[in-house]
Amino acid sequence: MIPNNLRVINIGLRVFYQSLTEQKIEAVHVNWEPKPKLEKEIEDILDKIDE
Amino acid sequence: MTTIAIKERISSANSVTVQRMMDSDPFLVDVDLAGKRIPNLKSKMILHAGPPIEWEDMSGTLRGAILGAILLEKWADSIKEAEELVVLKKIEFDSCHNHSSVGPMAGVISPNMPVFVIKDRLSQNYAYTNFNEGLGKALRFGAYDEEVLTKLNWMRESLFKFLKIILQKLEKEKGGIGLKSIISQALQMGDECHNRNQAGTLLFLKEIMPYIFSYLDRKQANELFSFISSNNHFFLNLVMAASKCMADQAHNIEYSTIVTAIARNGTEVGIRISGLGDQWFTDKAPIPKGLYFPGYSSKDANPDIGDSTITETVGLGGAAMAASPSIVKFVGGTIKDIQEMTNRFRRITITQNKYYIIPFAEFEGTPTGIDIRKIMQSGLTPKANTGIAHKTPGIGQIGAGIVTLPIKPFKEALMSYARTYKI
Repeated sequence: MIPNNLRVINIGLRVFYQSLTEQKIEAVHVNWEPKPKLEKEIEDILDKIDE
Repeated sequence: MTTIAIKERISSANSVTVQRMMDSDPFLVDVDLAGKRIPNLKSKMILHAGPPIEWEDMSGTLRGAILGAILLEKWADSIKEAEELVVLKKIEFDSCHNHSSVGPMAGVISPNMPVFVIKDRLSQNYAYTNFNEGLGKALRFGAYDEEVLTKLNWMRESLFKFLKIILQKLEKEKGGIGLKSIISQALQMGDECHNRNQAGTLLFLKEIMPYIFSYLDRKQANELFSFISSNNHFFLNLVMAASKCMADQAHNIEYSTIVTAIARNGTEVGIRISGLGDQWFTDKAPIPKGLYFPGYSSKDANPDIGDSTITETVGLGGAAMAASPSIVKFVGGTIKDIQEMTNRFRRITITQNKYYIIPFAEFEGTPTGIDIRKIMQSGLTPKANTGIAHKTPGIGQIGAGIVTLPIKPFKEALMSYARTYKI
């Protein structure tokens, strides 16, 4: 199922990227994380003052 | 005010805040005894790092440093007597920040301790800090034995006098020593100016060297040079007081959402916001993650302590980590980690510093102006690098590492901001 010339784009947790590179698999890491879920009160304030 | 008008007002206030922070121009102009110079420092008062705290709530590290200061002041002859004075409330405590001062770790400053006097050429305001004792067993890490007190007495009797002679000449001839210039050079020489100050200390020595040779006798020159050159953290306190000038210059700007103080007292971590006056927003101080000296572990660590996060507040320390590859050998981690730490700050700050440049980051300025709105939107809080003290009074430093600030103070600051400005 997995081809020999595997090339990976890893999004999110760096540990998976590190594990791949340790196994000599070509990979790039995208430093992404989901936006935190904000409480309604904070969200309302930010809506009014955020850039 | 409409939402658009409020957003414009904040944007404008924040621009002014960071411009003032960056344009502050702190100069070391003098040394003096704390009681003579620090505003409102009473004769039986001891200042400490972080937000204000009562004795009952203080950690072991801070208690140790305070008891040591009482012995140093000769207000008591033994630790038992010193504790009695404290319990009977014969000694007052207050936050260094409330007296234009900062101090690393316990940050303890008592009236007869010598302090550096820093003057901001932009605002003409002053900031103060104590002298750095060096690593290992030191008062700022809560140690107070004979060895610690002997060194502190030498610092008051000799180091203070040598520096006084030199700085009086320097102030007269050059108006003092420009600290921003040394800090910006040190960043380009591998310091991040919080936990690594090798370059800054050497550059400081270079500034005073001609005066050491010209105005001190051979014995005095040897003592002064040996002390400073054997302590790579000597310049830290000066960076902190310079940063305090910068942060104070940016404080109290109406509508500003920029952080102007981050400080820990060993029990709580607290922040201040430019547009919210002198109110502290606090949470429990975390335990740093890092490298421990042989024989110690995180079980021995005091919660995070010190005013040194004033460096992160103005674009140094954690914000400038990418400038300092060598720091990973002291606080742990990898080169990638330090780049990510600076990048993390880029997501929660509003500008790049005009004066603090990182050669390894394509000569970009350090991330400056921590914005509580960006922290709440991203969920990312500042990370600082820090020394680690033993939680038991009297032992001292046991390691160094990284600490991630909790989000609660930023959240509470945002809610207070909404109430203050009726949003």
